[in-house]
Amino acid sequence: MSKSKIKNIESYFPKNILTNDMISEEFPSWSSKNIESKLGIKSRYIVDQNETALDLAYHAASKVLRKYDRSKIDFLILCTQSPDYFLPTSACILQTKLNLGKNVGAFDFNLGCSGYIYGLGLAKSLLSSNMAKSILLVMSDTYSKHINKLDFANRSIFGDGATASIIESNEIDHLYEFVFGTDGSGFNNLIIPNGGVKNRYEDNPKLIELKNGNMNTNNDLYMNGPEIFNFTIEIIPKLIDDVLEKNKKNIEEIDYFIFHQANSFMLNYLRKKLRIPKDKFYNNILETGNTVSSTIPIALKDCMENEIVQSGDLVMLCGFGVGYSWGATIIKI
Amino acid sequence: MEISNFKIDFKEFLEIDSIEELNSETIFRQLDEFDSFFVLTTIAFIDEMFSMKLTAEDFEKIITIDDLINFIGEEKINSL
Repeated sequence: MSKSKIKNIESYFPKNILTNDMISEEFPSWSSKNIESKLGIKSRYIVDQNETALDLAYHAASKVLRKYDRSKIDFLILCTQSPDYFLPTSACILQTKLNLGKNVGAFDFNLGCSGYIYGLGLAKSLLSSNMAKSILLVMSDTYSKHINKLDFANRSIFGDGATASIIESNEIDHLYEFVFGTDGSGFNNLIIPNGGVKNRYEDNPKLIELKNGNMNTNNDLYMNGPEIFNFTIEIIPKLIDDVLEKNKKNIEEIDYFIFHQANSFMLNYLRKKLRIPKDKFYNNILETGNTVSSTIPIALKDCMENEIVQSGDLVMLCGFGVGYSWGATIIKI
Repeated sequence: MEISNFKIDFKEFLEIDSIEELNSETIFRQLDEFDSFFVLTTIAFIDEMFSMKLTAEDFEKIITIDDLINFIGEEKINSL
């Protein structure tokens, strides 16, 4: 049975930067200082009107393929919740933009903050079943396109960005066992109600008043922050126990923890609740914001490049969010 | 834990500096410090201290510290 390893990760961000000061200027009661101290975010990248998640995906993938023989890629998996079209699948368009071979299998999957864990799990199973030898796993999202200009809370949290990872077969397994979970009963706590086939996009949608002076419409992203927080603090401790048990490890054996970088407030509370030491826990979205499916690979790349983790270290990855959907695994660097 | 100490702990947890103390007349939503983090911090406080879940819907009914005490239950606070 073939084993798997993350070979390389690259990220790509759009050019436009939205700072906290810019948000505070538009919305004076929204304190720039508070956004940074509580959310741990100072600025985030935002796409141009004519720039899409597929464009970001292309740039991130091109970067990672500069150092890799693209003819070796035999599977392309793209995780996005901002596809260019209902159909065709963005991954098919990405295959041709990247000049990948026609022997490549390609598909999209629609998940948010748990996406990287699912992508790694899919990659591992394709490699271990010999259906693929070299996988390009791309995560790309542009939530900014779905957030109302008057929804300052979500504009403060989310940023656009993409990552591309190469996962290839390897003699030793660096991707350990996975645990996944789903609770669709929370589907309407993080949702874009209109634009699918159930509720069509409205031309003149009604403006809805949200908490703390924020506004949106049913064409836009809606997030019930307190309920998402409740879901997270309820689910994550069990997820951590389950992934440790499945891998026959105890928490002290894990060298480093990378959770989905939702926001600093949530991560600080989770870390305290799980009694994970500060120096073993990644918490940094200062310049990117919450980039949804890309936060984990962005963090992992940062940790590897800046030697926060060393070769041979065991790192726990844990993703959770929209769906609700969650997953965790342990990888060896 | 005495109710008076609970009020002090909660005020410290939320870092409320605009008033001397939280009493029955203090309307949370009228405090300078009230924002979306106030709600999340209250949820975290209840989870950490009492292992209880406070939903967004529950929070809608919490106007003052007395409502929060009723939600948790005086007995539960006293037994801590």
